[in-house]
Amino acid sequence: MSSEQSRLIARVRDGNLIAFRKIMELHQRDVFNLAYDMTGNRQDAEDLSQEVFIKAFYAMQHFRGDAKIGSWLYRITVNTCIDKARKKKEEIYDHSEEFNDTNSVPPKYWPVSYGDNPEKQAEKSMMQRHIQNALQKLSPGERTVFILRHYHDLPLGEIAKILDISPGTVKSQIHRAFKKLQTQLSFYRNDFGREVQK
Amino acid sequence: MKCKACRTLFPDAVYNELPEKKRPAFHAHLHECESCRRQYDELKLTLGIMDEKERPQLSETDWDQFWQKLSDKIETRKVDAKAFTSWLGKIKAIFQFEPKWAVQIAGMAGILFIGILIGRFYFGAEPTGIKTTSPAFSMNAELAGTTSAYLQRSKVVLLGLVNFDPQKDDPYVLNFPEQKKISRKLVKEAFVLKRQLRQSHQEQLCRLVSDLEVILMQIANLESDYDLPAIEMVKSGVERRGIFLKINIEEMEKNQKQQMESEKNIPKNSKNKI
Repeated sequence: MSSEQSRLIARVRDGNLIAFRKIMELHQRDVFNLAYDMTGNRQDAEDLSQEVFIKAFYAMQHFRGDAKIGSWLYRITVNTCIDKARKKKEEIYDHSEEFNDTNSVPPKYWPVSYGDNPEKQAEKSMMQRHIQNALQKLSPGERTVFILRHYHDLPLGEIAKILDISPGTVKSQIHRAFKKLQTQLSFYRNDFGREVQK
Repeated sequence: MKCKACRTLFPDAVYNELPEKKRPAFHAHLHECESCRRQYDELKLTLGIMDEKERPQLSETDWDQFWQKLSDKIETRKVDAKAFTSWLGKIKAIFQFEPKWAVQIAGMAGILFIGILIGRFYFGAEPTGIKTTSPAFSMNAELAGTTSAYLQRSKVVLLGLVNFDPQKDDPYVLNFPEQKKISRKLVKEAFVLKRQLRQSHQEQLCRLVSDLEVILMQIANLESDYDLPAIEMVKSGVERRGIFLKINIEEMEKNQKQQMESEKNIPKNSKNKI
C-alpha cells in the first residue's frame, strides 16, 4: 500500500469524506462493473455499489491494509451481491425471463450505438441476451469466479483469497463454468467459428 | 502429457498463465492431439463471445450524482449515530443515582414487585372451567327460578312430542289436547318472561325462550290431534334450533354455579365453627 493511500485511509478513519471520495474514485468503476456483471441490471448495480461504499466507509476502521484495497472492495461487493440475492430468495438476480424475451429492445444505457443498420442492431442485441443468459445459467460460485477471472482479470490465487476458498476450488469452479458456457453458446460459437475461419 | 493433464491446464493457458515449465509439453500435446486442440480452440472461441459483453458506461455527471447520494446517506447515518449516542448518554445520566446500594435495593424491590404481580396473575386466579358470569345467575334469584321452571315445563312438552313415533305409539297416549293447552299457557308466559330477561340483559336466555315460543305456538295451533305432517314439522323445528341442547347447557351452567357456591360456603361455615 502506498504512503498516499495510507494517509487517505487514516483520514477516512477520522470521518473525512473528501478522502473517502478520492479512494472511491479510484475504485468506483471496478465496483460498479462487478456489481453489474453479477446482477445484469444497471439499477441494481448502482444500489449495490452505494451499499458497498457505505459498508467500506464504516469498515475502514477495521481495514488492516494486508490486502489491496481493490481486492478488499471486491470482497465486499461479492458478499453484498450474494447477501442481497439471498434476501430476495431467488437465484442471484435471475433475469433469464428478461433475457429470454427475444422481442425486447436493448436497454437505453448500453454504451455502443448500433448504428442505423437494424439487422446489425438486432444481432448485437441478441448476442447480449445470449451472453447474459449463459451467465445466469452458472451457479453463483461459478459465475463469481468466472466474472472475477474473465472480466476483472484477477489471477486465480487472488480470487481464492477474495472468496476465501482454496485455489483448487477456484480451478474446479472455473472449469465447470467453461464447460457450461461452451454448452450454452455452442450454436453461437459455431457461427462465430465460421466467421473467424473466413 | 496425457489428454486429462492437458485439459486441466486450459484455464491457465487461455489467460496466458501457464507455468513456464509446462508450456512446451502443453503445446506439444496440442500439436499431436486433434481432440484436445479442437476443445481448446472451442474454449477460446467461447471466451471470445463472452468478451462481446457490454456494460453501461456511467458519465461524470452520473458519478457526481452517485457521490451526492452516497455522501447524503453517510451524513444521515452519522447524524443518526450521534443522536443515538446522545440519547443513550441522557438515559444513562438519568439512571446514574447515588449511592449505588440505594439503586440496587430499589431494583430488587422492583423485581420482587413484578414477581408478585406475575404470581398473582398466574396462580391467584379463580378455579378454571366455570364461567363466573353465567347468564342464569347474574340475574335475580326469582327470575332465575321462573326461567328454570319455564324451561323445564317446555322441555316436558317437547320431549313427549319428539319421542312420539306414529308407527309404534298410540296417538291418544300423547294426549294432544293437554299438550296444546300447556303450550298455549307457555306462549302467554313467554311474552312476560322475555321482557324480564331483556331487562336483566339475559340475551342468550331471551333468544332461547323466543325459539321455544315459536315451537310451542306451532303445537298450540295444531288443527287436529293426529296431524302427522304438522307434528313432523314441529319435531324438525326442535332439532334444527337445537332446543334441547340449549336447555341442557343452561341447566349444566346452573348446576355448576350452584356447586361452586356451595363449595365456597363450606370453608366459611367450618371456619365459623372453629
